[in-house]
Amino acid sequence: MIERRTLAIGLPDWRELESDDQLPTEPLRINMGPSHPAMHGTVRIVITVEGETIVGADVEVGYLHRCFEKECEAATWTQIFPYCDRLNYASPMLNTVGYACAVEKLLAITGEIPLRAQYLRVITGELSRITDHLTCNGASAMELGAFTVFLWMMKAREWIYAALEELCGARLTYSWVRVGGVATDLPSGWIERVRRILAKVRRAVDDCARLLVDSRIFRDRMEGVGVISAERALSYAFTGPQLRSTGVASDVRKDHPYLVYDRFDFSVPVGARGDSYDRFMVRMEEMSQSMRIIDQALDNLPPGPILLDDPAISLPAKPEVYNTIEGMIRHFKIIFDGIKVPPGEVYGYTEAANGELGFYLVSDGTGRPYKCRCRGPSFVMISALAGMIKGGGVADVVPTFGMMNYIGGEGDR
Amino acid sequence: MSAAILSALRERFGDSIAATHNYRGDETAVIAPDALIEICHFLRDESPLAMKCLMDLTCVDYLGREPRFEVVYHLYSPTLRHRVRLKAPLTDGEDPQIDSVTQLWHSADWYEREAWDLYGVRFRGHPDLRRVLLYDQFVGHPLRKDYPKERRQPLARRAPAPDEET
Amino acid sequence: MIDVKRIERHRLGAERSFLPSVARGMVTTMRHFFENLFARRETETLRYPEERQPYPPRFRGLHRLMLRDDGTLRCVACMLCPTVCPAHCITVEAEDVGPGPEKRARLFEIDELRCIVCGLCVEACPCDAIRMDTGVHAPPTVRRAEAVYGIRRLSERGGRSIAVQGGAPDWRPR
Repeated sequence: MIERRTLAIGLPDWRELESDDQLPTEPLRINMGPSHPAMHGTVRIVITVEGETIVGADVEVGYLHRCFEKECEAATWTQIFPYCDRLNYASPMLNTVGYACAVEKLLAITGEIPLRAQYLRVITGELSRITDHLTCNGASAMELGAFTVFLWMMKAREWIYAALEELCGARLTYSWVRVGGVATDLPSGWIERVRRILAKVRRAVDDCARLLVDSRIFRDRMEGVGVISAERALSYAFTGPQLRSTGVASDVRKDHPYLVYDRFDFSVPVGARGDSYDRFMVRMEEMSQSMRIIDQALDNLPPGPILLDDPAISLPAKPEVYNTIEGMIRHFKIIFDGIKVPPGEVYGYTEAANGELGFYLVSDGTGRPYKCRCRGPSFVMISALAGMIKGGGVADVVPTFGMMNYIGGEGDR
Repeated sequence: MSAAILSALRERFGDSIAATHNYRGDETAVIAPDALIEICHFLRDESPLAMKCLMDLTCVDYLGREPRFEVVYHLYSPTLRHRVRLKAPLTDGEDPQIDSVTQLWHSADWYEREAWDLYGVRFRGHPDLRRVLLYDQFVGHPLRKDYPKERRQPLARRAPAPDEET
Repeated sequence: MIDVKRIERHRLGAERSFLPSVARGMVTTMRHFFENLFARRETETLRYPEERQPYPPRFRGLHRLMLRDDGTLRCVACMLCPTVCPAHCITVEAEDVGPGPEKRARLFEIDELRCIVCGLCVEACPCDAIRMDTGVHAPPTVRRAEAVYGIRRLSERGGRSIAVQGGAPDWRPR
């Protein structure tokens, strides 16, 4: 007969126990490490589980910290645009538009940006918002097992990337926005191509909705999972779709309109219960609203210049640089010295795909920022994750984390 | 936006408000660090102010100026849609400290950890002040102006690649 | 007043049996299947490398240095592109060209591994000497040193430029 030792001192022998509940247990610490298919943006969650229930969690970020602020302090205001593209890499145009709006607020030229440039920023920004929501919803659906939805959304995203590549020269690293406007105008036929693409994207998103939205499997996995109350969400400074899913109707485009958003007719989708299903549906609906905005903007796109013609701020057109000495001097001064922003500080904020993207800029009068702080919406929202997954199962971490849409680029910066 | 916030602050906390400005439309108040908790309670709990969100908490290093560090708070009211910026200059030289506002807003938790991590500002009363973006073994506070941008602190040293200059 | 659209959550009726969504899903996916089989509308697969995705004209790829009509480099070593490059990947050294007002580049190197393909150097050049319109990516290399492109490799694709030496007489837009 095999002798079995008691599992802990002071407790009865296992043969004398009446039920399994009396077995001594200790919580198990599991590492959902940064290198994990579901931990987008390289996040590490160390969860403490008892059985399948999470009793504690520690979220660790910083694996994608790339010293954005330090690099910006050594770069001119224009050289920061490629860095901003790489912040929220799922919707790069919104970051550069946000940064440009902040610098223009600091220069007090917000009202002088040419109208066409503002419309173009809105159109490309909303296209980027659609790509971000396609990425978030598609990847989360894939993690729940709906691989088809992921592939259809990625296909839709490819069409949008092709349109933006045609405009800017790259699929993600656009460096297209400039202080005072945008760098290049639309290629011919772009507007018609974008309209065709939007029709295709709408069909693809409708198909994905048909597969998921009322499916019992999907609803069971997403409803009631990762719930957060509106009050707690506000205390954690939630913004964007995550906040709107809790029922708070807060959107920078409506509350503090910037660029030409006040000219467009669009709704702000709002959830009710603050769970993952609401976040998914808010994003699906936001894609439709973005397409509405783009349609209206394309219909009303005014002709005109795309860059403010101010010798202190923007580069002159190339024929002037090649052929006149004044253009050459203006060109040299702006590139060597950078844009001379008067000393001061400003907090410029816009509605990025994940929420309020803020730039706190401090200028010391030179062509380089003294401080360029990026307030990425993801950073503070993921700190609430630990509380949201407590009490749930390990499998619930995946949709909750997916729907929080932590983008390492803007969270860790 | 209206200057009602700044006038309410000046009326209630006159001595602790060193300066206010409205540069480019951003209402800003430079406050004494000792009055931070009181002022934040006032801004959050008074109904005409209702600053339920701490949108951003960061620090600026004005090397060469005394006080060197300044902790900057951006508060927002989602119901009333107004904002205010609070700036608290810290005079503690090498070990700057200020009270933590984690009791008031949960978002302060990670923002203060980030300010500690990158600037070395200590927040009194923070439940768990440790590094958030950098690894624990990192030495120094890199966003300070006297930390050189080119310094590398690799955690794992690797042998140089065959074609790499050492 | 903000125009709010509330997300509806339908009660799961017959859906509780899982079957309606199975049927709906199968109809949707089979529709895609037959559309791809017969209409080939949205199959995105390309038989690479025989079929390639055409790159748009503005695609930013490998750099090239443009040449003057007599075959020398357009570059006058003005140092604008090394200054504006956010990645500091361009190294330019100037030399005197003899009698006359211009300099030229004795050394012009771009470390394509460091390049972030932002196109700011093209925007900065006042002579249309550098462009990124080659339509190819910087090819992968085995050694780091092979990715540092010097004048010879950069000017292999150089050609006719839009900038006119000395200024075009009729450049002003009418």
